[in-house]
Amino acid sequence: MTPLRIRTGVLPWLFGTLCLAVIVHFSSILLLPHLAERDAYNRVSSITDSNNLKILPVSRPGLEPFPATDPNMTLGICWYDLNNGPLNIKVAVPGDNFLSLSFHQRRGTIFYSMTDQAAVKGDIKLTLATADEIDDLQSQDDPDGPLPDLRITAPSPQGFVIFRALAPQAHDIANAQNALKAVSCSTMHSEN
Amino acid sequence: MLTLLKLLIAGFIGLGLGLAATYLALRRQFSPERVKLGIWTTIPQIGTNEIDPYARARIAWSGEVPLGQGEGWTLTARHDNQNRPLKANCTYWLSGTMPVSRFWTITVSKSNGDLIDNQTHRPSLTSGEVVYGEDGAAPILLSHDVQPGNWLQLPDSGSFMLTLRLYDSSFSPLAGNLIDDTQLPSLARLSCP
Repeated sequence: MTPLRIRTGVLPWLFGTLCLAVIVHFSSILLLPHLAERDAYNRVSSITDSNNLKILPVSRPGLEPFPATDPNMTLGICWYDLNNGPLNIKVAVPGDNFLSLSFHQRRGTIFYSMTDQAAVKGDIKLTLATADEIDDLQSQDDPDGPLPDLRITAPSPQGFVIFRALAPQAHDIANAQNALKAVSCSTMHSEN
Repeated sequence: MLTLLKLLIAGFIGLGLGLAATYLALRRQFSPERVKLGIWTTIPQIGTNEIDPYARARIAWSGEVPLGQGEGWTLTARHDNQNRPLKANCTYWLSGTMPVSRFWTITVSKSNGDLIDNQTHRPSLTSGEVVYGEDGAAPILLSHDVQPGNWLQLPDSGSFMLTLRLYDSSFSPLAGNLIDDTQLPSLARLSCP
């Protein structure tokens, strides 16, 4: 009789412990992006000023700017705070060479990405802004004027943009770096 | 008093189990959205707003910057065709179809994605530097010792991971397990000491 009584007495404890484990597990997964100290945004903002493109050295074993990046890619980063105004980006597309952009929120989630295939007449020109700023820009548009540049709505005011330029062969690295040097990433100042 | 002690013990065990599960999920790169295509696996939503909470936690933890969906796809392999773990002291033959892409790259790394140094200092090959056969294919030999032709050097010892990146590709893993995995290259183990 005794062993059975012990077992049924343990069951609620076991159930409670498991419930706690499940709650701890899910909440830690959900909280981690808000607590991580070595996430991409913190890495980016610790090595460069905002609104300034920083070209990173090519990934070498032991010297990777970010983990698990393609060693054939030269990376440029630009972090932004749209509270200071919309961000203007201009890229001159480097001929046949691959160049791409990914737009990340503060917590790392990508909300937009594109490659140089989206260029118009050899350039990518775009404005990244919050929903309110986009409304403002639209209200200032001249209805008879030229079409404005591509506008992207950022879900939150802070984040970063990663530019990638591919070096298909080792001797193309200088070309990839030059392509990134021609990128501009700057806050648009209001006219008033 | 005894009940309080029991509560404390149960609390500690629950906390420990929950955190251990989180640590394991991060280490093993668990994601409910992960799809397996032949030897390759990928998380199609990792480069979008629809990234799942596990993948989001992992990239925050590691500081990784994944490729956006509009840039390309990242596929990784830790096993050969016969589901044996990849070992650096073996010789492998990567062959088969490569999805149509503007560029692709293939990289040897540790299983967490960290690059490993080798004598050639080239842990990767790209579609722009491999030699193509008459059939348009570019099979690659992976081994520690120097080989003629398309060759990627493996490290001295230990396990390794292969990462295939497809840039501006017509291939998409979004249909998940419905995709015919013969669209992707396969990896045969040729010899092993």
